[in-house]
Amino acid sequence: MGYSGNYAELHVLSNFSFLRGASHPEELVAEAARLGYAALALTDECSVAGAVKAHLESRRSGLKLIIGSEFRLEDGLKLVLLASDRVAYGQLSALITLARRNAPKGTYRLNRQQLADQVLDRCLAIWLPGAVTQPEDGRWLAHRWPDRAWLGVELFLTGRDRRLLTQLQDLGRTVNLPLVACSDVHMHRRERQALQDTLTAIRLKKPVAELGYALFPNGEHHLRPISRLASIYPPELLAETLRIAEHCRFSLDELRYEYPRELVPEQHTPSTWLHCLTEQGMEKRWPDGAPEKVRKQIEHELRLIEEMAYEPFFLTVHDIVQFARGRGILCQGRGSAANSAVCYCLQITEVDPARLDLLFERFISKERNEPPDIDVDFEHERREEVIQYIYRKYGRHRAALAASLITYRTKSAVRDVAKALGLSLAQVDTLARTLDHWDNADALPVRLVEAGLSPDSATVQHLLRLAKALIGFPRHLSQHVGGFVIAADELSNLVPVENATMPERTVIQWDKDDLEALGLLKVDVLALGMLTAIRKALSYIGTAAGRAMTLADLPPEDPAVYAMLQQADSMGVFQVESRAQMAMLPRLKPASYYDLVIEIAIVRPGPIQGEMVHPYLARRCGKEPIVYPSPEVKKVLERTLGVPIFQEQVMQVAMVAAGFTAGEADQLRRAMAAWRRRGELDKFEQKLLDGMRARGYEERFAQQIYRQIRGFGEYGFPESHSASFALLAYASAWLKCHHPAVFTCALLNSQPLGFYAPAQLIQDARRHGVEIRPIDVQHSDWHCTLEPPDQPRPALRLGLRLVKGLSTEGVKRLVEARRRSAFTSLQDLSVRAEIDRRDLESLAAADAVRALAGHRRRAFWESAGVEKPAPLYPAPEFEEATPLLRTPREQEDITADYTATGTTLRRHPLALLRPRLSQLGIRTAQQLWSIRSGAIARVAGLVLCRQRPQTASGVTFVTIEDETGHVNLIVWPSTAQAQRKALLQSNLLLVSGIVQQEEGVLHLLAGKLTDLHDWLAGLEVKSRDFH
Amino acid sequence: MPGMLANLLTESSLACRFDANKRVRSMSLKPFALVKPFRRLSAAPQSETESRPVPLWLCAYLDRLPLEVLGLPDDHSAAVVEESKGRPWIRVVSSRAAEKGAAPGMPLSAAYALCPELRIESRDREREWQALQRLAQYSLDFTPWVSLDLPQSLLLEVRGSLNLFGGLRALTAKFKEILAARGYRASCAATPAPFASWLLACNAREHDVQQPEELRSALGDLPSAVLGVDARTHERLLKAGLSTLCDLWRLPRDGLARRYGPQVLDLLDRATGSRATPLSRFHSPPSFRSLLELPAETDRLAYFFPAIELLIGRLTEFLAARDAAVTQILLTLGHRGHPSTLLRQGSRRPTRKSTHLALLLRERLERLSLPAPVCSLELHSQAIIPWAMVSADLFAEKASGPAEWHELLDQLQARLGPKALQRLQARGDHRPELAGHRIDGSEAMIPAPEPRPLWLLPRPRALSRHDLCHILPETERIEGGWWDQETTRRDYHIAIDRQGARLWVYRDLQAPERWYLHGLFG
Repeated sequence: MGYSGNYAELHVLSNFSFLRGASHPEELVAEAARLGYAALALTDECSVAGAVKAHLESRRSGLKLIIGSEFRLEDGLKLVLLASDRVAYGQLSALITLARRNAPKGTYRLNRQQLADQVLDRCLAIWLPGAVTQPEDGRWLAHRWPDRAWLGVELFLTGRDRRLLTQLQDLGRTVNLPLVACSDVHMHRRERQALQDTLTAIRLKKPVAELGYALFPNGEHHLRPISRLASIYPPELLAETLRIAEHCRFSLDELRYEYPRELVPEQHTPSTWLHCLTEQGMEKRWPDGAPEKVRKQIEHELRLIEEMAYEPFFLTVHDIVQFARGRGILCQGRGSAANSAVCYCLQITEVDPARLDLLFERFISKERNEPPDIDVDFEHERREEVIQYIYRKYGRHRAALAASLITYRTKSAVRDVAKALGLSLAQVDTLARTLDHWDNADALPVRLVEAGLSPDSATVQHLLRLAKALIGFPRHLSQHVGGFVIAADELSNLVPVENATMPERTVIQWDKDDLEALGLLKVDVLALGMLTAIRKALSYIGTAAGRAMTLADLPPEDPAVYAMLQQADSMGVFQVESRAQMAMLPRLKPASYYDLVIEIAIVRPGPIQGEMVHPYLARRCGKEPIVYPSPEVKKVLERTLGVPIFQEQVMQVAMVAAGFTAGEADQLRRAMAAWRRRGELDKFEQKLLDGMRARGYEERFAQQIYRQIRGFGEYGFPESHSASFALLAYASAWLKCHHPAVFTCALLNSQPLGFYAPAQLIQDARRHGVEIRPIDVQHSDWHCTLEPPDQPRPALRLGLRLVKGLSTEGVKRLVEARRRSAFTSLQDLSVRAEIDRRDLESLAAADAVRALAGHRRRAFWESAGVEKPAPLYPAPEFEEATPLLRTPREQEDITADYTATGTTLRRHPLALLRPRLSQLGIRTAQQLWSIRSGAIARVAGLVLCRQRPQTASGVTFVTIEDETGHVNLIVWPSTAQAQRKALLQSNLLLVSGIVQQEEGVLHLLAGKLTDLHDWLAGLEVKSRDFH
Repeated sequence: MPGMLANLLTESSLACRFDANKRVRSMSLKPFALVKPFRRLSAAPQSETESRPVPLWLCAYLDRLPLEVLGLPDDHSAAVVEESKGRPWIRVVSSRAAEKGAAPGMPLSAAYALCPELRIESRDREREWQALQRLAQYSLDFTPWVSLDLPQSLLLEVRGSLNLFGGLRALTAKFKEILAARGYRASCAATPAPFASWLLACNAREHDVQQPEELRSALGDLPSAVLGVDARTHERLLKAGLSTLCDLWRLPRDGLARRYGPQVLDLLDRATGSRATPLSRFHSPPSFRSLLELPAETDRLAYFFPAIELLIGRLTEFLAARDAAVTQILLTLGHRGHPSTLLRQGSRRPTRKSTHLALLLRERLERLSLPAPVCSLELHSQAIIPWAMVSADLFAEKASGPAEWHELLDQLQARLGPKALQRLQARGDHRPELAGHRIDGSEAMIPAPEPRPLWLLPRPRALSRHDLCHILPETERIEGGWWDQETTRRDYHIAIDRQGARLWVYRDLQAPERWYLHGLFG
């Protein structure tokens, strides 16, 4: 080549300059390395969001990466700033933060004055004067960055390159700036030109064909071979790039996370302080002294923590959890490091290490050198308090949320490309609908034909090709659900901070993978509805019992609880209430805590696609022998009977059976998470298979393991999470089993959460013998309440929160006024509680004022006529003729109940229709159980939900409900296709099908579907579809 | 002299005829607003004295109108969508699509799920309005009392025509036949109250109610939603169990008004005919025709042009009074003993500006050789359209620029003839053959990016490298057009041939050994 190493590209935009760059940062780095560039500067527009990705690739390929950023000031001045060292990087990051915080989410704003005021003395500047040259700008820059500013010359074969070069050379002499070559790179290879044009079209919201001169005239904005550059630029301009690259010595590896210091008292080091706290915790957990095994475990963990210097991380989480506990906010840690003995002592988790045989090394790996992972779930209604605490304690300049990178998915990519290619709105819509969310890109060509588009047409070909390339491109930065990054001092010195959509929230420019890759710490502060419900339930029980209740007060391993779960009686129970879980419970028959851990992890797409469910069940009930291919594998898989179920196990198998190092196994885990996107997993396939073959494993086993890894892909579930979730599953199951009224009350008061709507939870509670009392202004509070609260089997009074359209302030006044004395009339209610007409009407519509005003229509008429009393004057009295209002029929009342409150305590609508249904020989859900498997039966019910899981190859699952219970329907794609209308539209469905009963699970294989919508006469039952 | 002539043109010598012998209906662009049309009480027959028989209003509701005007066949799955809050919603569906479960009010995705082969089109209100206007024209054969005030329907007062057509049934059949022949389907109902007829027709109840007192029982079981009150009020009606009109009529009027507002009462009264529904009458569009006899024959433009200006003044006054504009006028120059000279003058944009029209006519007349002296002038408006449409159109371009520009173009074309005016325009494409494009002057002009040779070959010509003495090193690379099958990847150079001419040549990057000549520098 002769040219290798003779050029460094200093102006490169990746696709993190959203809708401008047409290549991933990794692609750019890899291509620059291939072309023999000496270095590459990633200079996304006012962003370093893609820097970590480029950095990781540069580590792999050995290409020198320079971090920089391109800016366009409000007055049009365009320049690139490069980070020469760590200080310069901090300055650059602070500048980006300033410009981004100055503008709404996704944009930036920077003016000359701000640029002048910001300390940027360590950065290098390249001025990009463009076509209209302003010598003053150059002089200003030369003055601003003495000896650190250059004039960038960018030539793209426009036919005027020579003239431009001469002009710029003159300009350089005039303003006294040295010239340097750069290429305004927008893509790694020329082939991306079409995609770059498309991105331009999306950005400018116009079809490509109409863009004209807004497009680049040619594909020269790619990484050009150095030999070509040498024919375009004078040699001294190329040489200058190397000089600049030489100046830049900063690498992201230099970033060192510094933990907040205020967590450690003065006389302590982080290490001694963590020891101290763990010691204190140990005394609390084991008042009679911890068992020797645990003691040893703790010592071992502390040693490992000290070696990795992770103490501050544990201290940070401990601090947050302490705060929550102090406020009575229920929380629980999960994640790899959370289930350690140390975390148990620190009260970060309730998972007793004595109950679980989890190896700490699995969670903190010395070799992997990655930060420990602890997610802490908080009550969803009170997480904001915790977030505010973090902001208060560390300040907004030190704490921000991690970003969550929103990327193009199939649907959005197709939609945007179609628009860019000028397809009509109707066509775009046609296309978009061929890609329901359970579709994937591979199915696309078939779908196109179905949509009436010819896959052979050039436009469609372009569309497919471009959409495929676009999938995975970043679209924008959103905020991570709760991952906080907390810095010792200014966070913006570490990474730029920008505005999030939510006011007062800020996000950093890196997502969790980036943070992990750089070894930066993130604390996940997450919201979990079930914690809210459990805390409320515990407090209701505590009130009745006259003492405070905590999770620790629940007796462990209660057989009654497991007996209930084995019956699939799990509505409302955390993690095991879904339809699929309900189908699994009677088969897996969990009888211990660890069974629950497995139960939670096994009903996931990972194990299902990896075909692990059946072998596990077969082994569990003794239908299949439990065998292990080797003693090493046995050690890993013994607790799950030789079938890998958890993500950790798959990694360990790769290590023990295929000889992966811990680091490689971790790469494998990352690849698993990304394989659908980029097919990175394929790289590991050969290594895995070869490794296992070399260690004497059967081909069949090797293939199976590989398949399982693929299946796990995005959906594998880690044991460490499952272990924490199982605790909450058990706690909620215990509450449901022993305190059904309390449990339902707590669930209703924590809505929205879980899988089921209030109506279904209420029906379920009734089936368990709980007395449910209607909403009534004379008795109901905002929340649902227990009547009387101190009895062992209280009734459940529905709260006013169920009434749609009611204002919280109104209810507050209502409850307040009622406390003084009961209401005597509607007028009395409206006057004393100052309830406006709107609230009054809502109450009447919900039938909550029956005691005061009679049936709901009369009540509504009366409410609608209530006049707001004027100050000083009594409410005006009207003499009105008595209205002729029909008393609602039962069916109408049921309908109105559903409309106003989403539930009813009257008869189930199906009970009303039962005489008609019986005449037709239609069974109830209950009766189905007495029909033998394989027989044909007919059943009718309200449609509760429709689901089409990705793992079920087009099968639709529908749950219907009648007055006796639920029926689960399985609808095959062919059946669905033929009866689309009834399947998708009906809210009252008549189904004839084949009964399938097995191991306590009943399904109906749907044959004929009939829409009985007309029978309902206006009843609006909302089905939860395709979540 | 011309001034004197103008003074001689007195009022008496103006033979000014107005085609439209009646008042002209103001043209509203919002014919579909549901309750709005009741604006103006006109002298419709029902408001007259009781001695006359009760009026009978036939309402033809065209439920498929949005589909029909777009030519969407009923036996295919088709739907017309309307955009609301940025999302398309189904407005009307064909029978075939309805069978499959698609229904008005659905979001598009839901309709597609039920009916994957659904063909959709966007609603075109303008065409619907025009169609209704045309149909109203035909309706005038049945009665002079036709109104388009109620949405998507034709209202005809037919009491007086019953005998002529042999009764209501025969009349309705005949009317439907006429509509069907033009591709429209309607539900028809006739009652003494226009609003009641409309309510019945849009609910596909083809009733015939002769006496006002029968209206309540005919309408009673219609759902209260038909009144068209807002969604919130309707919801509140339902909550008190007031689901039909009958439920409403049973309630005390004062109580009803106090709770739901007077509007509900008003609508109910209109339905029973106890309150009149003021309707405006339909008329065929106005046209203007005005004749001037010249006091003396003349072939000198300067003498007779003031008369033309006078006519134009009349026209623009006429237009202003009707809030209308014109896109074409016809000037007839009468000669003694010769056939008249006809001058048809169009305007690029609808206009009612007298100076513009005068200028256009003058440009034409100045180039016209008259066969004989002119003795009379007649100005006829040929295409009148409502001004509102024009102004809306202009505002969309949000500048006075285009309007002036169009006036100038009109003027140039009037002078040079319509074919003469074409210009080379840069279309905005990097590919040279597409950069310059002959088009008419109606599009915005984009400046060309860089100096290109003035003479471009219509088609590039292959040439041999040896034809070129010298190729300048400067390269212009052009790559683009992948989107329209005209993919271009070329390196352009300036070359000098043996004769010393400067050529614009390129190499095709797909076949780099091939050279082409594409242009010549002047």
